[in-house]
Amino acid sequence: MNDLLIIIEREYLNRVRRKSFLLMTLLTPIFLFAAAIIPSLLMDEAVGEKESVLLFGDKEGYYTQALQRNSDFIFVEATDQYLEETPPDKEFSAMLYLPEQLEESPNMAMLVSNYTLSEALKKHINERLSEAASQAKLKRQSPTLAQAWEESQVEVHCQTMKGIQSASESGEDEESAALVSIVAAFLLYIFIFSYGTQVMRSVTEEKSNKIMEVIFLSTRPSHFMAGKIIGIALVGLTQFAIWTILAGVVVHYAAEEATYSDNLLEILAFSKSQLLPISTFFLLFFLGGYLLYASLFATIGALSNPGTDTQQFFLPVTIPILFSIYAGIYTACHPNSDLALWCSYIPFTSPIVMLARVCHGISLMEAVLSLAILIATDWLLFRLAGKVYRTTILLRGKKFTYRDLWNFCKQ
Amino acid sequence: MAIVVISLVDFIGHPKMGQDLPPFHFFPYFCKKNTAEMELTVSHIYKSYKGKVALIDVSIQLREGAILGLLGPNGAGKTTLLRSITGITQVDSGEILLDKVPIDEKSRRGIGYLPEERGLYPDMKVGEQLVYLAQLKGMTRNKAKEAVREWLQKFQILNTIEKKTHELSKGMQQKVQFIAAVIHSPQLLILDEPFSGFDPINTEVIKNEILRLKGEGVGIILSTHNMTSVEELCDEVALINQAHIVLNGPTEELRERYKCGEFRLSGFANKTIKVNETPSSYFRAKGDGSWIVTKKEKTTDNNTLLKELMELFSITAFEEIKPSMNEIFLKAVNPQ
Repeated sequence: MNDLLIIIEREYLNRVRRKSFLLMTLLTPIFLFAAAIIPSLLMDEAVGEKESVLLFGDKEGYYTQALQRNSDFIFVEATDQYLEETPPDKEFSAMLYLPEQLEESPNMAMLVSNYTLSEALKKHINERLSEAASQAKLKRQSPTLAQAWEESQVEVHCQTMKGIQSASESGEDEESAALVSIVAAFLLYIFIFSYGTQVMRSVTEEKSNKIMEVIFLSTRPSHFMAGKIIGIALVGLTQFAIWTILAGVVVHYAAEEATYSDNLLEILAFSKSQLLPISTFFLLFFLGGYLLYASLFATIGALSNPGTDTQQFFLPVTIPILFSIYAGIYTACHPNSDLALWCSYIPFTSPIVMLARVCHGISLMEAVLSLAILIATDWLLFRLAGKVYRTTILLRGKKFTYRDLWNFCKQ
Repeated sequence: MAIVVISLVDFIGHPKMGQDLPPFHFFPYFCKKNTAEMELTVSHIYKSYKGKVALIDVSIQLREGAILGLLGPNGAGKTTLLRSITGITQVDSGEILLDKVPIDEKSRRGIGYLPEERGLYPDMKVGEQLVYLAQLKGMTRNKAKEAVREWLQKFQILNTIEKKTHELSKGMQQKVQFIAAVIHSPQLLILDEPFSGFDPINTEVIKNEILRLKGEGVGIILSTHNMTSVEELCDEVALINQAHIVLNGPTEELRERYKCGEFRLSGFANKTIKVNETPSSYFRAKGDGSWIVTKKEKTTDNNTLLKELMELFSITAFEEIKPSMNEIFLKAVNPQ
C-alpha cells in the first residue's frame, strides 16, 4: 500500500510542479472565456452595421411604419424632403419599390439591391408587408371589422414551468441551463480526454524505456498502473478545484455588476445558484468518466510498442468520447430526448451526457443510477487494464492484435 | 561511550566532511554488512519465444560475496537469463531460487538491477528520481535522501542533484543508474553492461565500488563484453552461446583448463643455440629478449622443463602463460 502512495505522489507532484501545468491552469479559463466572448463581440459588431432599406411608393408612410415595428433593420421612407436633405452618396443595402395599392397587387413590390441580402431581412419584409396589406384591405372593405380586429390583437408569451419550486423564472433558467450544460459537458470532455491521454502517453513512454524493469523489482505492475491513474486524476482534480474557485469568484462578483447584458446576468445568476450541485456532479462524473477512459488508454499504452502504430486501438476509444460531446451538446438543448436518455445511462457516454442533463435539474435518482452503472463499468475495465498491463508492460517487440485483447478479456 | 562512538561515525559520515577518508568511514549507512546468507541457484531453465529458443537447460549458481561474469556473444541469451532471474521474463520450466526459495515479490525487492539501456525518467530531477526509486525499494524518505546525497558525493556528481536526467552526459547517467541499483543495499546485484559509456577513470571508480560491494557480501552477476573487467573482477564465469551454457566455473580454474603449456622465459642464451628445442619442449625467440617455451607433452613436470632450459639459458624470469578470458571466449564460441 505504501508503494501505491509513493507512486501517486510522484505522478502527482511531477505534473503539478511543471510550469506548463500552472500556465495551462491559468490560461485555459482565459482562452475559454475569450472563445465564448469573441464570437458574440463579433456578432455585436455585425449588428452595428444594420441592413438599411429605402422605401419608394409608400406615400402615407403606412408600410414604412409597419416595417419599422420590432425591427432589427433600418427602413427609411424616400420622401421628397428626405431625398433633398440626404447626400447623394449615402448608401442603402436595398431599395424597396411598392406599387400604388399594394393590397391589390401584392406581387408588384420589388426589392432591388447590389448586395446579397440576408434571409432574415427578406423574411421580415414579406411577413410585415403581407400583414400590413391584409389589414389595409380589410380596413377598406369593412372599417368596423378592421378596427375590431385591431383591438382584439393579443400577444401571448408562454411561460414554461418546471415543478413548483422553479415556476417563477424557469423560462430564463431553461436557456441558462442549456448554456451552462454545454459549457460543463465541454469542460468534462476536455478533462477526460486530456487526462486520459496523459495516462496513455505516460505508459507508452515507460514501455519504451527500461524504467519499468527497474520498477518491476520494487512494486507490482498493477499497483504502478493504479498509482499512475490515481495520481493523474488528482492532477485533474487540482486543476478543477482551482477553476471552480476562480469561477466562483468571477460568478459572485460578476453577478452583482449590473453593467452586463440581461442574458449574461441570467446565466451568472443561474450559475451562482447551481454552482454547488453542478460542481459536485462534475466531480463525480469526471472521476467516473476519467477512470473508464484512463483504464482504456492505459490498456492501449501497454499494448503499444515503441515506434509501432497505436492507432488501431486508439481510434475505437476516441470515437465514443467524440460522440458523447456531440450527444452532450444535443442533450443541452433536448434534455429529455431519446438520445439524451439512452446516452445518459451508457457508461461510455454517460459522464458527459448525464452532466448536461443534471444542469437541467433532473431527479437525483436518475443521476445516481447513471453513476452506479458507470462505477460498475469502471471496475470491470480497471480490472481488464490491470490484467493487460501486468502481462504486456514488460514485453517488448511484440505486436498485439484484437485477438490478444479478446483473450485478455476472456481470462 | 557507545553513544560517543556513534556520534563520531555520524560526524565523519557527513557528506561535506572527511572526503579523503576511506569509504567505510565515509559511508556509514550503506556500508553496513549484509548479514543474510545469499545464494542464487538457477536450475535447468528453459525459455522460448514464438519460434525462437532463448535458453536451453541453463544452470548457474552464485554464492554470497562472489562475482559471476556472464559472457556470451550478442543474442546468445544473456539478457534473457538476467530478465528471468529478476522475474521480468517468466521461464517455461526450471527453477530459480534465492536463498533456497523461489523469488517472490518480497525477495525481488532485495535485488539491485542495472539494465543495459537506461532505466530512468529523462525529465525527472536526479535527486528526486533516486529518492523515489529508493523509497519504492522500502527505504524511508529521510534515509533515501541521506543515501542519495552520500552516493552522489561519492561519485562526485552532487552538483547534478537538481538537474534533469536528460541533461546529463551518458557516463553521468550511467552513474545515476548504478546508484539506483545499489542504493538500497541489495542482497543480489545484477549489472548488465555496467561500464558502458564510462571513460577509464570512471570505469575504475565503478570497478572499485563493485569490489567493495562484493566485500560486503553482495552476490553480483556481471554481464559484460569487457573481458579485462571479467578477469579483474569475476570469481566465476558462465559463458552462454546459442542459448546454452557452454562454459561455467571459477575464473582461475577456466584459465587453468584452457592453458596450452606455454611459458614466457626472460634471460640470455649461454651458448649458441643450434636447435630450438630441449628433450621436452620447443622454444622460439620473441624479439624483445624473451622466449616462448612450449611443452611437447602437457604432462611434463615443470621442474624437469626448467632444468633442461637452465642448461641453455641464464634465466631472469620464467612464468606460465595463462590464456586471457578473451582467448577462452573465442575458443569456446568457435572451437575450430
